[in-house]
Amino acid sequence: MPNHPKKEDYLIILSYAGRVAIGLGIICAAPMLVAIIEGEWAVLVDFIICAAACLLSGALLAMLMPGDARPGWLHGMVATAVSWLLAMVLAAIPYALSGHYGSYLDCMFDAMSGFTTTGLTLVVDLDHLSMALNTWRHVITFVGGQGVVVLALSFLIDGSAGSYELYVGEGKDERLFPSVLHTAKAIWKISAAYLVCGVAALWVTGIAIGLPVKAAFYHGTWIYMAAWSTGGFAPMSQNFLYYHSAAYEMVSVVFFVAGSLNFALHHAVLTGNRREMVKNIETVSLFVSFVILFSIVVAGLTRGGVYPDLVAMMRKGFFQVISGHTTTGFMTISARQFALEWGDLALCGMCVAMMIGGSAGSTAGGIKGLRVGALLLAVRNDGRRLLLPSNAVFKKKMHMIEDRYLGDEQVKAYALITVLYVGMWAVATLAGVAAGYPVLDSAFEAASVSGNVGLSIGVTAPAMPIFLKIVYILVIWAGRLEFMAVLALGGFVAAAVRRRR
Amino acid sequence: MMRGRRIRALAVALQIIGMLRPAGAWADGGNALAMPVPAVPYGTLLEGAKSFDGTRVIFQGEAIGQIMERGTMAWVNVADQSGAIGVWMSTETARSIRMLGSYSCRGDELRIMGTFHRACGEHGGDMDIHAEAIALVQAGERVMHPFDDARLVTAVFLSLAAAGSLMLLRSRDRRRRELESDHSGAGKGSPSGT
Repeated sequence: MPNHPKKEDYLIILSYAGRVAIGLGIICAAPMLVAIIEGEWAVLVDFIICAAACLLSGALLAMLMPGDARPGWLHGMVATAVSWLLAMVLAAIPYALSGHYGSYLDCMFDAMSGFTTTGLTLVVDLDHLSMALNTWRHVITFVGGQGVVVLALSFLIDGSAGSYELYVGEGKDERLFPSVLHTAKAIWKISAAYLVCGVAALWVTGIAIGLPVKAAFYHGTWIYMAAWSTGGFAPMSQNFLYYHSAAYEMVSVVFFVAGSLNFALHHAVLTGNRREMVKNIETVSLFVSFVILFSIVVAGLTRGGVYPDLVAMMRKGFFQVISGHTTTGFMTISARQFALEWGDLALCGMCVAMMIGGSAGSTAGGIKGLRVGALLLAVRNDGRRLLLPSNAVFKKKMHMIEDRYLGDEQVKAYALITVLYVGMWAVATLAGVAAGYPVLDSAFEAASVSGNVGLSIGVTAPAMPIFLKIVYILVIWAGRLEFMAVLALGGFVAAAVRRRR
Repeated sequence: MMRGRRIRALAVALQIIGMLRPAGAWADGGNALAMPVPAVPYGTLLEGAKSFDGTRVIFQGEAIGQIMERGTMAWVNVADQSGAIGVWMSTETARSIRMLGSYSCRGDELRIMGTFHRACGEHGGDMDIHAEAIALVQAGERVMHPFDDARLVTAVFLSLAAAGSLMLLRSRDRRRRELESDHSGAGKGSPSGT
């Protein structure tokens, strides 16, 4: 793409976004099926409108692709950022038609929260939502976790030029196979395999804890989709507190921890390389950071005397920390209990856990264990360099599926993304404070939106100021795409504006 | 701070008028439920959880979701305007609830007297109410969701337009693939690449 975008550049980008919209239209089939099974006919009409709008706009945009188009790196990046915005606008249609939202902005907030696997919601009266709409919330979370563009790559774009750029633009840079198309399909295969196991496990557990068989199936499917995608949406307003069950919590923990691990790690383990689990830099760094942060949270809860006994404290503390650290966002306490009862130390521990997040190349958000681990290794290497003689030679490597050289350029790239995340968190915190919320509440909610987590201290609510809703939408979008695609879009818009002047 | 003080004052006032009493001090649950005392909203319980912890409260709301039976006891989640809370009650009582709130139903409106726990030791730290007496305030009912004709017409028109545009896209894609294969054939010196 040249410095000044031409008409052809716009057409290529919109054409790619159109393919993603078609993909979104196709997945409307899932809630439509539920609406038919449950006899929710009025909701079925809403989903027909949404599907038709997606397919129509998608087909019209996809036809814009110029005949002699040569898509490049920047086209793919910008198309990814635009695709996510378009998907947000279109996926909000059933929300708006449901009457459960205060405004279309609220609907878009929930759509973006779903796609980015954040899990914060502005829905009103969630307990009376239709089965079909609840399915939609969880399906878009599931699709968003694997990647909206990964979906399009797998089934619609057919490995055309620019597909690698689309893939990377979505915050994924690990390739399981040399071909991006094969990698995208492998991601779906891994997710589908876990889908069967996860739904079965949660269905059986649901029945065991007293849910009726049909409700246990729906809840199991929805909770699995949210868990594997590290989403955080739940079908009832109490979130996980609705179930009042340690067993249900533990089964879900298995799947959201699995979802927060790198797809490449899953692939390695599933193909027989089990030692990778203990050698991988990410699993090691995430385990260490979890132990440290869980200890901090437990210290805070103990100091505050928040829970009556050790069992209650460990159960609540463990679930909230693991949910925050994996960026899932399931909660077994009310949002306000964080603010009113948990105390500053525990909340600080939670903020750091949410900021670190899960694995790179997974459904999780946050800075990622890979970057944190690599940066700590780089610090150790620099320390050794200072202590050892100047001519001493030592290995600068890390293990991530294979041994990799940890050079200065790599460290710089990891540090840059980390700085951008921290900067974004600071901006989101400032926005919360400017909107009139206390500093710690704002910082907690900002950590949750920056890391695509979904835990809330009570700031995110339908009544929060419009500007804060917009800031949070932008933050969760940029955080999910890990900045690259968003920066590319910013550069593209700036170039287009310069050209007009 | 002011809000916290107000909630504590409310808790003290409610205790004075007899609405809240320490657990075990309530003699007649049924009569107490019939008294015209206001229920404590969920939001007030949440904000003043420390003040209300371990006291008897009256909570009123709609039974939602599903009854989850656990042996002789059961969980029923009950929601008022400000939020929902789990109510631990006997299975026998839970089975008397006819309707639970969902998309197609408005659940039974219940008035519950029970002990509020900020972090229940028996239930892993959950915030809950252990019910001692429950009264049905208003029976639930089915909620109808009729078709909106305008939406139906919109859906039909949009579907037709979408089908047409998809067919057009498909034929364009097919033409493009044919052209690309012609070009690639020409590159390899194929006879078709003239």
